Amino acid sequence: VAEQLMPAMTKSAFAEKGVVTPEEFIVAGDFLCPTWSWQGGDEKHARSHLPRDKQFLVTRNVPCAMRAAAMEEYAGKEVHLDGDDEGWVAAGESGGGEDASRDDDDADAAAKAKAGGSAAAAKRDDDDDSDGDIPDMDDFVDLGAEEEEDDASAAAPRRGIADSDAELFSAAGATTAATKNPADNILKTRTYDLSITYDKYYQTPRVWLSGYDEHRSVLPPKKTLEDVSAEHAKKTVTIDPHPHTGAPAASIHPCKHAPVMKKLMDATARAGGGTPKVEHYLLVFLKFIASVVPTIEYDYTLSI
Amino acid sequence: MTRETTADVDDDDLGAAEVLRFEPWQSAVDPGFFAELARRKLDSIGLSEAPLRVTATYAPAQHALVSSPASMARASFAEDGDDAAARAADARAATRALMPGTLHNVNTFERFKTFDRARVLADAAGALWSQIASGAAEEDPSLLNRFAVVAFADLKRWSFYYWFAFPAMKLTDPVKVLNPGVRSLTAAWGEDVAVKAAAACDAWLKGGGAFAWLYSRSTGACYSLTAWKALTGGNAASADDVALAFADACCAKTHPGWALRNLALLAAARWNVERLRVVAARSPAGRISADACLHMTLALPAIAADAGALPPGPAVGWELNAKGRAGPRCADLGASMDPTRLATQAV
Repeated sequence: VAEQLMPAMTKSAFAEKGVVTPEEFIVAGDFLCPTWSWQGGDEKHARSHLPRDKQFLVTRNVPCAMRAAAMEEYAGKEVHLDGDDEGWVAAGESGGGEDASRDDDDADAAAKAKAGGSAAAAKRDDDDDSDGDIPDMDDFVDLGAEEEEDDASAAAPRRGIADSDAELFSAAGATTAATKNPADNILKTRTYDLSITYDKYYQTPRVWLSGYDEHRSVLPPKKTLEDVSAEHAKKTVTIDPHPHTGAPAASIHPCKHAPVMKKLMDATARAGGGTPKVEHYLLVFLKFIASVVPTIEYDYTLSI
Repeated sequence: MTRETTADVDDDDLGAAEVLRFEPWQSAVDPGFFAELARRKLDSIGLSEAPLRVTATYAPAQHALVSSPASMARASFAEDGDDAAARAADARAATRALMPGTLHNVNTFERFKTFDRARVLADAAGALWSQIASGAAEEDPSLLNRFAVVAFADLKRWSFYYWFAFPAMKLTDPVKVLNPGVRSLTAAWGEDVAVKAAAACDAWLKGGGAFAWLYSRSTGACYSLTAWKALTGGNAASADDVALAFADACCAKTHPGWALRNLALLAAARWNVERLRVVAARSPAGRISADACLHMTLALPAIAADAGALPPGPAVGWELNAKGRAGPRCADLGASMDPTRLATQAV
């Protein structure tokens, strides 16, 4: 509500306070394209302080092959920020960068490192997924199935692939049901649609996550939290309606974004020399988000 | 048949052929779609089971290991006017192709179980075929991405049951791929030609071009599907210069996505070609890249496209469920949408 009464900020203060004006948000957003795209969204949810066709940024179908808990144990590279940012974690010097480039071998290695306990966890996961609450799905009268059984032009049904691979992977201690068919390089994994909106009250970007399971069914909020690092899972990630699409989505609350951004930009300045440009604001922001959702493999494309 | 002469790299042995397999579409329905379905069910749809027009979108594969799904969101409901224009603008900004669909939302689980799905699929396939035969699909290729979805919204438990069908026709003589099979565009055309082609195709899609188009290697330009006759003059040598390109949602290196299935049918029925070059365009990191794109030469069956003729084969295309079987899917959104559960969580 306060957001509606407040004027949008106009004076640039990203380097001093870690906040951005709507104009700076647009400049920084342009820098993420075309990996991310600007969207206008619904007319009735459009914010007047942003251009009609640049209301928020999206990138879709981003793979997330393993759960945050496994990643944390594997990586252990995050740097705790000191001072008054209790609980916040910054992507470590190597941590953030490697998330993007981390390939499947790493994922496997991490999975192996996690062997025993998480294999059991994966098992539980599967049980949850087994559509137990769907009434009589099995005696569904299928009218079209026989017709399609011998469809020579359809690529092999996933059933055989997934099952044999699942066994293979769980033998190796995989933490998730992410499986890969070696023949056609397809990975069965959770995916996320990510979007970044501008929060006028906190004068920072805000990130929204909408997850799908290995079979592209909506991921319940509880399971989305498995992809959030432990420090943030219960504290700062909430399920709210997306301001532009209305879809319930997991969001990282922006109340601490500005001080964290300020710290990260100072760190970047010390490491690379010079104040970061406003164009790079969202790249730094994504590094910070990578510490909150360490296993979602969105592409940074550019390093700063 | 005239052999390729323009590019030495492309010295294919076009003898042997094997049946080309297409990766089926996967649906991904955003919670916003279900929320809007629930709202409409309560506000306007009521007990009506009349089919609703909906629109899904998809992007060319953006990741080497994960295919792009056919996505439904709240904007999928917009039929026309400002909302549909806004959706089209957003799709263009994100380089996403539109897929026209029909939603059959029924009132009870019993109705959902016994719904005449065979008729739904046959109707969708029939419409698809008549639009191919009449030439409408050549004008507007998005018609080839037609789909149907049968759904039941259990608003007591905030569970949504749904089953997608992406119709295609099972041909007695299926589409085959000629040797050396499916490979990267760079491998097929050589780096220079492939990179130039990828850049032209990227510009075509970013400029709001249809999800399927023609690319001529001699001119280095993209054209709409309707330009086939003008570009080739029915001449086999020219037909070798022109490739059918499309935004491919599939990430597999060994086969293309389902969208090509109906495109190949269109090419066989409308253009009467036996051989067709195809470029499956994929855009990692938001740009079509020559390395990610696939190239293949198809052997097409002979298909007569009389406007009144019956479809050339039975319709297929029901999506498999999470168990990999023919069956519906269920989205349980109680945790994020049920007002009473939300109220108990709120602190």
